[in-house]
Amino acid sequence: MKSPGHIQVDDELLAKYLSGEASPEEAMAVDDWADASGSNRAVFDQAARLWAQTSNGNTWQLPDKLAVLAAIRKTQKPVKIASVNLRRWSVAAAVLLLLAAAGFYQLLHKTAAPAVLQWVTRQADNAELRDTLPDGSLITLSNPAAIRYVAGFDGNTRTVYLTGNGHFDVTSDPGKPFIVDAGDITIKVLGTAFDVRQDSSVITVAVASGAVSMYRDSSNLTVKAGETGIYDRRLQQFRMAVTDSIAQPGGKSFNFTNASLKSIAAELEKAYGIKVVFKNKRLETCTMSSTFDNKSVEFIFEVISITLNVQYRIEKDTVYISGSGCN
Amino acid sequence: MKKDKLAIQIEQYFHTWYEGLHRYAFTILKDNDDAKDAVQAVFLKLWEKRDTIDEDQSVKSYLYTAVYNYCLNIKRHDKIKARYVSENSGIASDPGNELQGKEANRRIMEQIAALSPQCRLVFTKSRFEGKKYTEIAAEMGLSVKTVETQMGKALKILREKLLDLLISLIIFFLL
Repeated sequence: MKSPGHIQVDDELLAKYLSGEASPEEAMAVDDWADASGSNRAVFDQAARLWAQTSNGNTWQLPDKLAVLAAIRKTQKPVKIASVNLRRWSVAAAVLLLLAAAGFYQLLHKTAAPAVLQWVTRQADNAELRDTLPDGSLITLSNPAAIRYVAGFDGNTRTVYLTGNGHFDVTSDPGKPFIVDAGDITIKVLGTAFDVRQDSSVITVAVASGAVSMYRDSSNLTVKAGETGIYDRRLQQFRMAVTDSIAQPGGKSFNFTNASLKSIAAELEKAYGIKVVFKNKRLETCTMSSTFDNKSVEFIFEVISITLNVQYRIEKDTVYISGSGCN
Repeated sequence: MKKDKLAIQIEQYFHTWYEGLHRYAFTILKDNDDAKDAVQAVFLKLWEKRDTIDEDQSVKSYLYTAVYNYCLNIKRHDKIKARYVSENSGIASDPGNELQGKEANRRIMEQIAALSPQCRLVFTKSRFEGKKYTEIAAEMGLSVKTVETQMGKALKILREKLLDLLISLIIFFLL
């Protein structure tokens, strides 16, 4: 194992570290070096500042250390069960609680402290609700939608009861299948990202990555990435739909892969209601790849101009692109 | 009691290395809350293994390695990438002084544009397109080592050209 003393800390390593590419040994070397002197620390801070200023994401912020320490200390003591808001699910939940308690009696018998099944309800009140489930999975609910699940995902499965529409990003756990119970059907997944939409006539499941199985009684349909499965409530049948892309929830997002500046401009014109004028027609064929999610027009053109070495000028609703050529 | 001694020792490790570990986790996950969860999980694991602690240096090494592994494991689930892209702050400008923020951005963009072509392209792909070194190397037909070198070059030049700006931004940030 290399000792940190053998690693040279220079701009190259600092850039590597800040880009999230450093090995543990390299990270330790950087921290030791920064702690070694005031001038080292200053250089580190400047580099970090530069990274923060050129980031299109979050900037680093140290959390409340004392709060984290308190949380760690708490785990050294027995866990306190939090109380839960049942609201309109109270009747169903009460019944399920009794059944679950009976079912879990064997388990309870063995543990030192008695555990009670706690149900968690999450409901989209405003436009959209995002939540992280006990296993790290992400869900996005659009109003009106609600989910219900057992706190901590106790049991052999991770089951979520869904009414309305939701987008799921499920962490992989082969030993514990993730199940979405949408009433008429259940959807079983291992690790994947998918969208559930429902109305009075159908339930559709669009899979972005991974694969899911839709079940009802003895029939099922396997839906793979890029496909959309449909359950027809009236016919009580499954069928496949043709789909080319999954709608991104919320706002203007773009995913350009080797797209020409001409096509990028056309998409931006449509999405933002602006006009793009090419002062030099040759620039229309420049290509680039990038992803933008909920970014301003200025930001997007800044990135385009840096990437392709073109200039731009925004006047009211028109963007003028000029330059002698690109990479 | 040995138990109390260990608890105190681990809290000492926490105070000494928490910031470095959190920052490291952040560079990999690009999210403060995820980094917080990662470091917390690693310290909990350390507490579980407390009886096997022998010397400080191996603990430090263990913590950094555990954070690294934990973060890579999280990244494999891909949901982190989706959230990184969707969390918006534009090109970061400090709140409270819009004018300074805009001028700072302009100068930074200016210096980036002045980098030599390959250097600028590598830096742009890393910072603005969020690409990993291996992705950039594959796209541009370079070795990963070259990408590392170019990134280092970019940092060095930008640090030198923007020294006054970066220092004033740090002071501004601390206010």
